[in-house]
Amino acid sequence: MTSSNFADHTDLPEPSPHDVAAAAAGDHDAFRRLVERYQGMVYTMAYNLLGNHIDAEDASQEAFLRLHQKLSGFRGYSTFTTWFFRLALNAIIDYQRRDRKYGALPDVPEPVVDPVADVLRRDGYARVVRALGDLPPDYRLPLVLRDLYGLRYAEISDALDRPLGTIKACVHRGRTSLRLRLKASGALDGDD
Amino acid sequence: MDCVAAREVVQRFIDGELGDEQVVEFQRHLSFCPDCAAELRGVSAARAVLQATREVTVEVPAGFADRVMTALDEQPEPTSLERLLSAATGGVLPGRLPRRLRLATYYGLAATAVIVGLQYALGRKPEGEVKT
Repeated sequence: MTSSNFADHTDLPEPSPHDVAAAAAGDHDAFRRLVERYQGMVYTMAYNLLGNHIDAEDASQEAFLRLHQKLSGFRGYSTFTTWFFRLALNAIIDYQRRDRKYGALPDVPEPVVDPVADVLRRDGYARVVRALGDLPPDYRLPLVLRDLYGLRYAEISDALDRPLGTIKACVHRGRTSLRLRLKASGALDGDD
Repeated sequence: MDCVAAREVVQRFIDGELGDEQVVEFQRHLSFCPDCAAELRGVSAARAVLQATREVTVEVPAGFADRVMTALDEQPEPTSLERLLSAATGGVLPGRLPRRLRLATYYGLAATAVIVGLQYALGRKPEGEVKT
């Protein structure tokens, strides 16, 4: 199965090969630099998938511990960011599946990074976060993986260990539910 | 195509999974059915809103990197077998395998090691011992 380029949206510059090699060899300072470089990407992904800060932090921490454990296996067949994105995604999904972290109340974080973000934009993001948080977890996870991170249905089916038809149905129903919630919150106008 | 059929294919249309003929049929239906056209617009708009959040990075809690490094210090060192397995699989596979399959992988590696060891031991025997 070919892999979708779901890390394409990350604009992070690659870490230096020296840092990766040093971190793999046990250099804690080099590993910390990797943590600081990728913490925003991992934490955002965990938050979007899990919907609350407590689980997002725990799952993100697990992702970095797994990175430390697997770093010696990085062969450079893809970019480091793409490799780590998949590894972190797997760690977050494993966290969610293992602990069945369903039903936690969503809290709305303050988005950062984009300096031109204005009040309206933050409010728009908050509405999306609330709408996503209102979705049943069975819908939210496949929907976010599909429409936010661009995974193929087959990849989601494989990652979540659920039948392809079930995943498609969950994404389809999730889109419809999200639309209704966004409309109710005022984030979608008119007959949208 | 009627409305029931159109509602069934709207998601597949968004995913680009319809064949050329189905696309033509669907679009013909949309041209005279404002309800189904609104359904397509609405779902597409919701999807676009979700995709727009790609540009947002959530603020990481203060001290997160410190806590990761502390947790790292508290981790037990991986065993030699775990290091070997990690290196052999490119680092991603073991954590993704179900427990039963992971155990099977460990047993497989162990069996391979035994076979290789036996072959090595047999190969080193003096020829005189195996010849009759």
